[in-house]
Amino acid sequence: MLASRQRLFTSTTKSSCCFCEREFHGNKKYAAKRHRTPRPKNVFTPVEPVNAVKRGERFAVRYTDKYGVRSDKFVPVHKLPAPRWSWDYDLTKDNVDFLSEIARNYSENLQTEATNAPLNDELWPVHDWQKDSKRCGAVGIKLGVHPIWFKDGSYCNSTLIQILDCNVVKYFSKEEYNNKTAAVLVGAKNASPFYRNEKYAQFCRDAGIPMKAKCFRFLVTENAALKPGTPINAMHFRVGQYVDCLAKSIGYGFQGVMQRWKMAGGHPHAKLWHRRIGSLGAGGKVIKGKKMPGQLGGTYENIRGLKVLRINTKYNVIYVKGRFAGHINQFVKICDTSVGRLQPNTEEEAKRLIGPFPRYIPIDSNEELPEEIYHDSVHRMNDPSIILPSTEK
Amino acid sequence: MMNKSWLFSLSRWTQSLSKEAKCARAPILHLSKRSSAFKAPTRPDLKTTESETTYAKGRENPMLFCEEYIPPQVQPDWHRNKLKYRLERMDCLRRRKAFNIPEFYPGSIVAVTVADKHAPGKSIRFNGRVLYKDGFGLGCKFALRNVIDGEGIEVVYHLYGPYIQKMEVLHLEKWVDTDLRYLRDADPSYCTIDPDMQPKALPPTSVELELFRERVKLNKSPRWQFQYQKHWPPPYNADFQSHFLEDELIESERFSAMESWRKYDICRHYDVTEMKEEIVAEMKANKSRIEKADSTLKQETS
Repeated sequence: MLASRQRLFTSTTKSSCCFCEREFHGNKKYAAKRHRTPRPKNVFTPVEPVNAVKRGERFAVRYTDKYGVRSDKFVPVHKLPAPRWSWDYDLTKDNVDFLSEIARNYSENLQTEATNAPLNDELWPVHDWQKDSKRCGAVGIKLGVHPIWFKDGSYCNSTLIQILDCNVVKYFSKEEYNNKTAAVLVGAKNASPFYRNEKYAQFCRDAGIPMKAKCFRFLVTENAALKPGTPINAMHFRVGQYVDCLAKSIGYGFQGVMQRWKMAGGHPHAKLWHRRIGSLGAGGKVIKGKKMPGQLGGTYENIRGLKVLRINTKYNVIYVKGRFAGHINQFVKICDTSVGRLQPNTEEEAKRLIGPFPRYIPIDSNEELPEEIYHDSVHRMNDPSIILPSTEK
Repeated sequence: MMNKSWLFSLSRWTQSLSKEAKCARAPILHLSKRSSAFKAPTRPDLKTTESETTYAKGRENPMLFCEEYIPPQVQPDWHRNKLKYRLERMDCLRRRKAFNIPEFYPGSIVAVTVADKHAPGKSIRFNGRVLYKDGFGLGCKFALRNVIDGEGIEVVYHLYGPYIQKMEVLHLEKWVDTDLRYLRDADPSYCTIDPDMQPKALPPTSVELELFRERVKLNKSPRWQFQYQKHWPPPYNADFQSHFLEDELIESERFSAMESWRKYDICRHYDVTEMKEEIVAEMKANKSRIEKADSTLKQETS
């Protein structure tokens, strides 16, 4: 007994990791667990969740906030998923150069092959709109914000969203996904073929499109099924329709209570109390959800009911009334509104509040689209100045 | 090039004329013995095109380059998007084609007629001195200040806002400072402008503007909005040291000596010379781009 205790608490020598030869001060037992043997990245390793309730722990309701942090149990290092290594960790330099050259021209070659291919399967059949049917949206990039003026003299700040190389990656039918709704994966912005794991690369290969940098899931009814590989551009939306935008907000890291929860803190002449929480609450315990320091930002935020004011078909840019979370060049998930008051009940409302169902199909393939499409209430910059009509009786 | 040679020959001809005029005689062609060697003067080409107006050093063609076309300084490269800058500059060019936005600088006097739904005639005219002109692209704003019946009034307008129906430059002046908000703490005579002021003659674009180098005397210090002696860089056109006592003078000099290293800090400088060439080339391409885009629009409306 004494010997084991001595072993635990008396070893204070330096220990080093066998793989990367970094040194740690402290116990060898923990050094070995911190640094694991390398594992390839492209293999998908499922991880069992830490479920304390199964073992009969005290709190049945596990509180987790949107940052994924469990408040009553800190996940130990040996239960986290394997560390990610780059795709070229075990290749020679010549092979790496060869593969990266292929990756550079990868997306262009794929697109030219797709357009020149003689045997192109037809896209799936198109169904009519019915009540309570949902169609998929698009994935774009936030370009920035600038003002747009209306014909009555008022103005609003509008965000520009570019829909860049957007394609449908995969379609899951109702039975494949969960027996309630079908799902569609839509990806944007071409990336190198070694960007993600093998499972995702197989989806892109089956669809005949280059690997996408970001992919979002849309829950969809079965009458809006889209074939993997269909391109989605700005005409997927209609001027005057309403739209939801989901994007990851700017991350500020671990922030204190004044930044995170806008608490007041101490007055300027305080000496011992500046930026602290203050009271922890009454009742002999701290209630779950107490506002405390923690992660601020870096979460997905959804803004609903944004109106589409203008579409640029040449650069595939949508001008949306209002602003949403995220820095410039952040990926955005754009879909039709979920606001109850703006849900369409008839076909006429569907043409006003929702874009073309299930996707944009040009009437004439040879017809040239107008480059800029404006909403009726928006003032075009090449028109003369606004003169308001006088109301004299 | 044709234009310059025409000017050269014209200037020579006018010089000869002025000598004659001093002698109070009509110009006479002196016939020489060798009349066969007479050479007729070059006929001036009176067809002038708009694109051949010359711009002096400090002034630029607004269709090609302007201060508000320069993108803001943003540190990480992935926090800027060049397509967005291009689309915004295209909208600025559309507005400039539809409406003539005159050239003015902080310190000049401008009158603006604006559409307002709450006004009796649905439009309001306001004139004042420009305090600052700040922002990028369509978000560029400028502020006018005027003192009416002893009350200082400031109004902020968008440079590219279509609610501006008319814009006149009453007196074109260029001050050394670009931020004249210290005029709030100065003698109100600099900002009292007669609402019925008549416009003065504008110098042509080929003439370089002289900077206004006089110094405005500020009121006594406890009534200031900012502590101007603790701001870097110190304003050129403001004289805030006349009321100072010896202690305050020493402290202000010590502060300026402490902060004077900032003018040598290269990382804070925003070098615009390379950007200017790119922007000028881009605006020429934008012109043709806009013509193509708006031609399809007109077909729709008509």
